Amino acid sequence: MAIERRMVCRENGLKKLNNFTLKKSVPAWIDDDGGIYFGPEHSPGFDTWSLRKHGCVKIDRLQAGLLFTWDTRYVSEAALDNIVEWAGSLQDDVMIVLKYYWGGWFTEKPLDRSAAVQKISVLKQVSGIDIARDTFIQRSELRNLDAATLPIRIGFQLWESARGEIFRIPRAKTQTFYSNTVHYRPKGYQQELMFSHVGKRHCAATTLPAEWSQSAIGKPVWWSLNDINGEFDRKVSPAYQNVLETGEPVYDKIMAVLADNSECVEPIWVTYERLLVRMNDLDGMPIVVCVAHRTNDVGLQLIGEMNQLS
Amino acid sequence: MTKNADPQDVEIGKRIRQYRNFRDRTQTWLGNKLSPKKSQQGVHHIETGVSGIKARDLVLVSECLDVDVDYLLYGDRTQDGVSGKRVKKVE
Repeated sequence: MAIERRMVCRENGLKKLNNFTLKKSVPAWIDDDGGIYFGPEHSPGFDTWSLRKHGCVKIDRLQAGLLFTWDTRYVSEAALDNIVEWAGSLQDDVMIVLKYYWGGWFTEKPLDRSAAVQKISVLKQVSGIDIARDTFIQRSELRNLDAATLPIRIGFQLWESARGEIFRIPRAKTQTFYSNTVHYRPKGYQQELMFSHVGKRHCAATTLPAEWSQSAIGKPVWWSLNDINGEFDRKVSPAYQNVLETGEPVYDKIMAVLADNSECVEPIWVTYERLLVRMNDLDGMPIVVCVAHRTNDVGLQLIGEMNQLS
Repeated sequence: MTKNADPQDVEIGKRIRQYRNFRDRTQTWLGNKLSPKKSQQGVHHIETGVSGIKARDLVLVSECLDVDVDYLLYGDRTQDGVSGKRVKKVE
């Protein structure tokens, strides 16, 4: 990938061309004048200050593309114009990831150059619009599983072929099954569901800090994260109990704004698919097994659907 | 403090002055390191918070005074309030 490009920037109303090479691990910034410079490595404080006080756009070089980061509330139009202009001069096969703050951090799936430019233009139009911050669940029919992500499809196939019995899962697939799933087991008189297993590759384990996975075991199902409106648990948790009682699998698409309990981490938009199935554990006890996968395609499409529903 | 000056700009300016003096450099010297170059008066305005420093200039200041950018921005307190050493080198 040719990273070395001529950068067009506007300064004091004049157009001038700069040559610059994006270095690995050193982010480049486009400021409110449209000028470009290199920032410090790994400085969250500087990042926040540049994004929010100066409306800059950050460019990071990724393994297989570029990452553009900005805050829709503060970004300078000149910076966005220049990033679009620059992106337009890149090779067609460069993949671009867009990360932007809009009531929470969004991270889009990697887009090709023209799709990224188009998305930035759309975002420029809508950045001033207030967005709904409710947790949104779209329940899907199981027949739509063909369009689901791979981990979800594999999870469903394993459940189906094992006829709900964990001991029937082929030995060759046991490791995949355990590493991709979270298990909940009913405990006590009220049969409250508690975390009994957290797979290392489950999206909760990969999204949340490592300590979360270790401390989750034995905690009730609602113990996870706070969302902004406090309704994440209310909307997301009932399905677990229903699956345990009815045995009917559930396939949902979920979008939520989540905040860390400590409030040190800024809210993030989380979009994921989940499949909940009831299975019998090795000791014959019924458990609820969850396979979930981040889709990272938060976008304007789902928000549009939310607005239509409300 | 100058009227209407952003308190954060004032704090950043104070730390720049502190480190410029520590490195025994003049405002004119520092102004020549910025892009575009600034006069002694321009640097004085940054140090007193009259005018906020641009992000790219802050990076240049941190490089030529050899001090961590986060220290210039937040002092001994990082953005999330955790105390930490922010100075790259103390000669």
